[in-house]
Amino acid sequence: MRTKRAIKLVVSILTIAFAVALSLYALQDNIELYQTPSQWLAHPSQKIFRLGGQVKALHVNGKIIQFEITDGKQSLPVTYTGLLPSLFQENKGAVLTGKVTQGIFYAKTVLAKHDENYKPRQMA
Amino acid sequence: MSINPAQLISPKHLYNICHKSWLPLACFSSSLCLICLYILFTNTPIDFQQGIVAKLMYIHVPSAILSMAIFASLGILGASYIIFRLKAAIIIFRAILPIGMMLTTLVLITGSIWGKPTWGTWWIWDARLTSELILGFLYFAIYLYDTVLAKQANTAWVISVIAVIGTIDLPIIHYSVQWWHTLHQGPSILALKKPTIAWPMLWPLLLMLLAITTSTIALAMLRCKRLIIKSEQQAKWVQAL
Repeated sequence: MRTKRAIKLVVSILTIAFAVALSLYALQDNIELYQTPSQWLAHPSQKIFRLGGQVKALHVNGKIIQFEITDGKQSLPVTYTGLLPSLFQENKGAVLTGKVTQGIFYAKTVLAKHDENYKPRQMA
Repeated sequence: MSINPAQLISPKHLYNICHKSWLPLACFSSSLCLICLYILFTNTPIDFQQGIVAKLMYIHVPSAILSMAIFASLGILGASYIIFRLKAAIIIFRAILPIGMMLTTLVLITGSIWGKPTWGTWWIWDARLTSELILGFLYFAIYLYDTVLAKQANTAWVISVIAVIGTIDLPIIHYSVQWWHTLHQGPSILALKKPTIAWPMLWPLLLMLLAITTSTIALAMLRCKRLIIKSEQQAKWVQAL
């Protein structure tokens, strides 16, 4: 009786886990929070999307902020007008919402993505 | 002849263990909490990138680890109830359930407060945040089912099944930051590599983890005692107390 219940339980769990795994695999593109420049350039579109990567070549011209988002292989030029989160800086990650017009990504919102490193100020 | 685990861990044994241990453990954990609080405000260094806001990790990280560890325990206890019909398992299950639910709420709240000044948003539907929210919903679903339908004969079985199936969410939470692009950063301590938190910040974090874990166990033992007395009212040994 106990063995039967144990087998039933294990089989149900494995089946449901397999179903969940398949669903997650199928929904992969929707679960991804952002696309990297390479991913977008492989399938360019006019739609609004989230772009993520490292910030390079940051230029601030008054209110207009220009920089590049790169994934190490390819990059996209970005223009943004507005306030930046305090952790936004060159060589750090960022996630932007907006769309590409004539090769330039016009960002509506900018979020900073910080890394998993923590150390005291004195050690930096 | 096989041994019946139900006889090895009877509610009476569980009551005796909890009765003896909860007070010393509660004294130890609450003094440890006070020591931690003092250390957090006076001795922990300020982070080089995020500044003072990174001190939120001393609550956020232990609660996150425990919210998942408690749910994993619910899964194991649920499975032993389903397979062995262990009465003690479902008592411990009910004792730790609301604690895990509170800690999940705490993770989401502290994470939100942390996200606004660092990322620039209170909330985003990335895989890590969403899967942790689902864990919160699972806790809430089990809690609601258990409290609202407490009189049904098969309640214990149903909540065990939800808990066992819900454990599928745990690896998803843990690996979400590696499987998909997320705003949440990768793991700092729960990975097979050198921790990316410097030692002067790591040891208070581990101490805090110990403080919250022992507090959880002490609280769970106290709740166990109450739950056993409530469910075993008819037993002779309870009436003799």
